Amino acid sequence: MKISEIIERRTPDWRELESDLSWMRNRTRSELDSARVAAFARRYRAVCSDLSLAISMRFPEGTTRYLHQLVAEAHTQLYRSESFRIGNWLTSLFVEVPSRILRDPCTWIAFFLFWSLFLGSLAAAALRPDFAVAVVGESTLSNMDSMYAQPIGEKAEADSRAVMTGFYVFNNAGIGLKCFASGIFLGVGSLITLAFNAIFLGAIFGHMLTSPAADNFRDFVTAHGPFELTAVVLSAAAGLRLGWAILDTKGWSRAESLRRTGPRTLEMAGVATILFLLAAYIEGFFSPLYIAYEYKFAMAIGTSLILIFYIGILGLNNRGRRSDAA
Amino acid sequence: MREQTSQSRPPQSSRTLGTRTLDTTTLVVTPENVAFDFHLAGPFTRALALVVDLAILISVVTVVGLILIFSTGILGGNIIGQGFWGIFLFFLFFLWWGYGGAMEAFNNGQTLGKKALGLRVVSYSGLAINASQAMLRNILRGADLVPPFFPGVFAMMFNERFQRLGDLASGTMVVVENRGARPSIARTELSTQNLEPLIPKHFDPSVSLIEALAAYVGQRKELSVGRRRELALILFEHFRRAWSLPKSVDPDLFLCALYERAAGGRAS
Repeated sequence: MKISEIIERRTPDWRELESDLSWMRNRTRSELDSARVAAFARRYRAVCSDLSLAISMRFPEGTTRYLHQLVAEAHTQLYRSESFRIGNWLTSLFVEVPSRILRDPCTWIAFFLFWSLFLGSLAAAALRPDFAVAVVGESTLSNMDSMYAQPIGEKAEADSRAVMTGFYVFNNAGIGLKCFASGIFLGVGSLITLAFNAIFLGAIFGHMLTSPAADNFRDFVTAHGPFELTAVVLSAAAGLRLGWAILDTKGWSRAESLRRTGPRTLEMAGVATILFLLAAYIEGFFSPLYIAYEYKFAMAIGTSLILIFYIGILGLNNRGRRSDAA
Repeated sequence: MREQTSQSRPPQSSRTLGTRTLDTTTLVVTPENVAFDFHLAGPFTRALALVVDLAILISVVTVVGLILIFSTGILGGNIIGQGFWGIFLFFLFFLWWGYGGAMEAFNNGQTLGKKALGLRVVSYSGLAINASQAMLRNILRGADLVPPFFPGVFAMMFNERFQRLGDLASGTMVVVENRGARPSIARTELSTQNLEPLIPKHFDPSVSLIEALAAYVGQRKELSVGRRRELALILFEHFRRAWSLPKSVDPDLFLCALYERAAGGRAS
């Protein structure tokens, strides 16, 4: 059979597939009629064999190119993205991720780096007032001083608490995600962000805890501290893991190693973001409450126990490692 | 004769065969065991799509912000509480970090900007991306656009799929969905019938000759009659001398006839 005859005979089917595609393009999975999808799948397979024929028989260039595009588009419509499965996400969040966080050296590198710099900076600022001035700046420090001059929360209203919660989410969780993203530069970006935050926060803590407003400051920061500081550490750990995948490839090519590690680090950054959101809620609604310090302290203990349970107890299973090896 | 017609080009030079001469496409093998080409999107189109998306985000945020300014009593009239600004900031966070990821996950790899420019994000396998890939590549966009170096643009230059860093980490690529193309049918069957007998029965063309003929037949419609004749004559002269064809034969139609025979004969 002549090529022109084949093309002429097959063209109506190709046109049908085109109209199927424009029909499918703007519909979600549930809006698709199954009989027509089955007909679409059949036509798609027929066009696949047309493309093979076109390549082996050397159809005119334009026709082959057209078939390439037709197959490509039908392929993306037929094999659509996976739907969300809540069950898989929960398994991942409560079984695999804690185990991975616990066993990942990046977690502990970030953890010890943060706390050593934070405590070192805190001690330096407490012992030598000019350290805090050099790190944080005069104007920020005097702002902090006046902010905590009065006992907190005496006239905080529900409205301003909601505004501050929104701000903490936007600002803090945003910083966390940026810290994670900058880890792709071999982890350096995450380490710099982590170190900067550790020294900056340490200096503020050192300054405030030795100032007359120490009690007011302590009343405010205690409750949300565990979640927020852990979230910072986890963001940096996820970024560090991402960057480290480029250096230590475990025998894969660098690009492939990065691709295999990417989703795992996203899960860690996701946990960090959840912690940021919870911390923002506590910081906005609980920390400004004008109540006895014991309640704030109990909140800090409670949230710390949750973290220990999540990473230390849930993380003890081996599932994360096994799914890594698979 | 075979050697003479094929020596100008190395064998298997077309991009539909083994070696690939175009670097703006990538080959994908489907579960149906057919390999097809995806056209990759370049930095400029992708930047345009990003601009469209940003324009959409900014207008949504502006409209919601204006509604809040008028209803929370900043300019008088106190319809809803100031606390809604907290919800606004919350919404802003999810819009900024989640818009691209959510759109690409739920909309089969297309944000509104990508849809407007006919782009789509797919996995290496050509399959649609999942939610995790969509989120990761969008969160990493910040790292790709760090001024003044824009590492993502550099990354795109150094890999064969035009991937920025976010694409590399999530295993995705951005492809062009070209809907402009139409099958070009060589409607020459009536007149080529007369020329059939002129071609010797034992004619056994080389692969590169068939490819040259296919390229010519596919594109001849876009050429003027004079230019067709001029191009066809180059090859036709060779066959006219070899098979001592009459001068009255139209070179253009003869190449069409030759193509029909050459390609059809090989497939049978």
